[in-house]
Amino acid sequence: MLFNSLDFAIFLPLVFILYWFVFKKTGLQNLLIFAASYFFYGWWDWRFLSLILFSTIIDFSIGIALRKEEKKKRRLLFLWLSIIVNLGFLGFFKYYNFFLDNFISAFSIFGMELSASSLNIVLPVGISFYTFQTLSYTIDVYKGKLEPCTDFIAFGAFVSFFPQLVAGPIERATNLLPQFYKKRSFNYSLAVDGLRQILWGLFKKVVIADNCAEYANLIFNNADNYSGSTLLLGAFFFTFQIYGDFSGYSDIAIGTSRLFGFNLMRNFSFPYFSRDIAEFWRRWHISLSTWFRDYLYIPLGGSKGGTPMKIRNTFIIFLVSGFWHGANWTFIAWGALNALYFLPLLLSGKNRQNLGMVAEGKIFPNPREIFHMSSTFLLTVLAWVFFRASSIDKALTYLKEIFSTSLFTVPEEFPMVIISLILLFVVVEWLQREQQHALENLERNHLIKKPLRWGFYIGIILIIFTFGGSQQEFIYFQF
Amino acid sequence: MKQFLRNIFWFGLILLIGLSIKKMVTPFYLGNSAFKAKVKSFQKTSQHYNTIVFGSSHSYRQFNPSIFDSLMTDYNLSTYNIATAGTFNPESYYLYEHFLKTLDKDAIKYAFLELKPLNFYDWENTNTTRGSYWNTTSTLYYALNYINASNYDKIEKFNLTKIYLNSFLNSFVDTNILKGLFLKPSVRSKTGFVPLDKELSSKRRNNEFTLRYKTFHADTTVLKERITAARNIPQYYNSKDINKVHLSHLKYLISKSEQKGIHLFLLVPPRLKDNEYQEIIPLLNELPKGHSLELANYVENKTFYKTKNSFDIGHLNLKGANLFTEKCAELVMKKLQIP
Repeated sequence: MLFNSLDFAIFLPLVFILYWFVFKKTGLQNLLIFAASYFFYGWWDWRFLSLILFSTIIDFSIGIALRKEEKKKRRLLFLWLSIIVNLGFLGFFKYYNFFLDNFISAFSIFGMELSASSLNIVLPVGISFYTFQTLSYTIDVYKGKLEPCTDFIAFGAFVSFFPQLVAGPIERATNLLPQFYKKRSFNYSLAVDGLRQILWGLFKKVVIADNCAEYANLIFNNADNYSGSTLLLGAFFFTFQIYGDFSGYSDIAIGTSRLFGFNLMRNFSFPYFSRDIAEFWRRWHISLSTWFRDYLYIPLGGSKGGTPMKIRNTFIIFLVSGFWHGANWTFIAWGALNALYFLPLLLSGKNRQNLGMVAEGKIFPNPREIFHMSSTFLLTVLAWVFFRASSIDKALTYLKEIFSTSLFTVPEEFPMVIISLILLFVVVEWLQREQQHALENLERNHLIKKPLRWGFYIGIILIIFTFGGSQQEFIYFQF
Repeated sequence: MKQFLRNIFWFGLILLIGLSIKKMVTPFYLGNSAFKAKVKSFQKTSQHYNTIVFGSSHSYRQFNPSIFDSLMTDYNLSTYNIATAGTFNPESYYLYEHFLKTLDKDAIKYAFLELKPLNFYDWENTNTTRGSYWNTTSTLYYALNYINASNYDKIEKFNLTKIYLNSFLNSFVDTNILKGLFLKPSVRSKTGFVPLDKELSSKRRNNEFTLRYKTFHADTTVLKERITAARNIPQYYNSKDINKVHLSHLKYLISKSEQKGIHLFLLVPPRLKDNEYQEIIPLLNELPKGHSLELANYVENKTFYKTKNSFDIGHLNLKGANLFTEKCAELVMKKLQIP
């Protein structure tokens, strides 16, 4: 079920009414979330419900077993069991064909012809997200950071919580699970803010991402026919498409959770206003970056060792992060490129120099900030070419054409309406960059009275209805 | 919670009122840019015309007003073909009914409207402006009653109901339609008729038409299916399986036309599918005889099923279109002699 669909527009109010007016006790509310989440996921493909249920049962049982078990070796065994089962599913569904094809190619280099046929595997939506979420639970229980859950319904609701089930944010058990134990009462401000965040998320997805997608697809799919300037524009469109798509989904997920009294972690913090790549990675897909930081980078030694260790760890985390996005060398190249961007900052100790928001308390940034933001933005745009291209060869050809003399020609495609919408979007996000999301706290501004506020919301709704691009699936569903 | 629900209610109400106003004030044709162009062109020169043709590509591409008028000299006709591609029941009926309202009494003498079963829209199309702008409360009421009165199986009925409901909802929230206010599409022919052959030399959407043409002429055996359908027509005249909602709607359109001094002809074109004829032919027995024009049965209309007169499986080429128009004029003259 897509967030931007009629199905969801019916589903959400129904669950909301049942949740607050019928199922008033915490246990019953958890049961409702559990059932509604399975319904939500099953709407896409009911066959894969068994996969989530199996994963839930395994991790719930391992959690209980870890509580009872004191022997270190056996506890480690349980942890590995969870890791193998979860990553096993992920590996099979997402990476089987990739590894198979690459093994065959690798052997063929040495003149050994292997024959094996790829399987027609359907990737279960959101498997990368809920796998990492359940893994975080087992690891935290193993480390003693979290008490194992003894309420199967609450645990099932935590794993399958429908707002963030298929595209995140990847929640930590330490943050989300305890919220399922507590009594939840309706919070007006939280719910209203949730609605505002949903509205902005829909704007990002339907207006920005879907419209940019049309041109990004057109330009990337016919790259041979376009000049460097158009290709650069295509890369810009994809840059806004992926941001609008993914952060839009996260906004809707967070906003929806708020309607039910839950607080999810922030996933995006205006990343395109970053002044360097390190800041960008603190603001982009925060739930995944921090997951890798806590469960991979720090256990590997983080940045505490010598230079070779720092370089190794940086590359590992960026390459794994790239590979997490998809079974294709393009994603690995994208990760490697980001590692190369990041390393100079890390090695010179400048990776934490931009911790606050740019031009805090000011309307306009200074020239230095503009330069840093623009150069960081341009670096990310170029990196996205690898992410979007279907092969590394195509990405390199695309980049080569951008850096040719044809960069200085007039672009063949220049959709004014979409570019104007992107500018409007950037202006609103810039003005609200110190908030959690672009429509937060509008009522606190005494200049913006209720009629003006409502007029603004209706204006956004009308823009969504008027300029909504053709409905496209969320990009991140495939990860 | 009360405050939250109260605010949601008021906000929703304001939005609903705004969207309703939008739906009420937009011109009836906004959403079909080709029709808009034709209607504007017709209105500019409306004093020239006294006959009008409504429907889908089966009329747009096959009814040649110049030929028709030249054969109907005794009646002093001047015909405009306002039909547009992909305009089926209920969109065509909706357009016709609303178009009538814009006319002065006796401004038009004759109107032709294609007789078609209720259209099975693709689900994706119901989310578009074109697939929903015509879906007013009365069109929805007609469509749902039509579905209910039909002999479709339960699954078909359920799916169609879903399609028409979704289209109705989209017609409400679709503000994309307003972009049509700023579009200035131009007409491609004075009489509104553009034969499909012309598309082969045109650069516009050339590939699609050429592909359709080539695919058909590479294997014309597919025409057999349409010939079989045309051969079945006589047996459908004996069928009592009539959709009463459709029938009463057609009678309503005939009576509305008469109020404006228009004689409405309900046209059954050749080359439709068997299930379509099965559904519409029985209606002809119940409609007033002077108002139906059936030009589809194989016995009397073999020429419309010949490859040399075809553009693709469902449409005639220019030669076929001219033959079709001639036959139409012949039949109209016969019908007009019926008291």
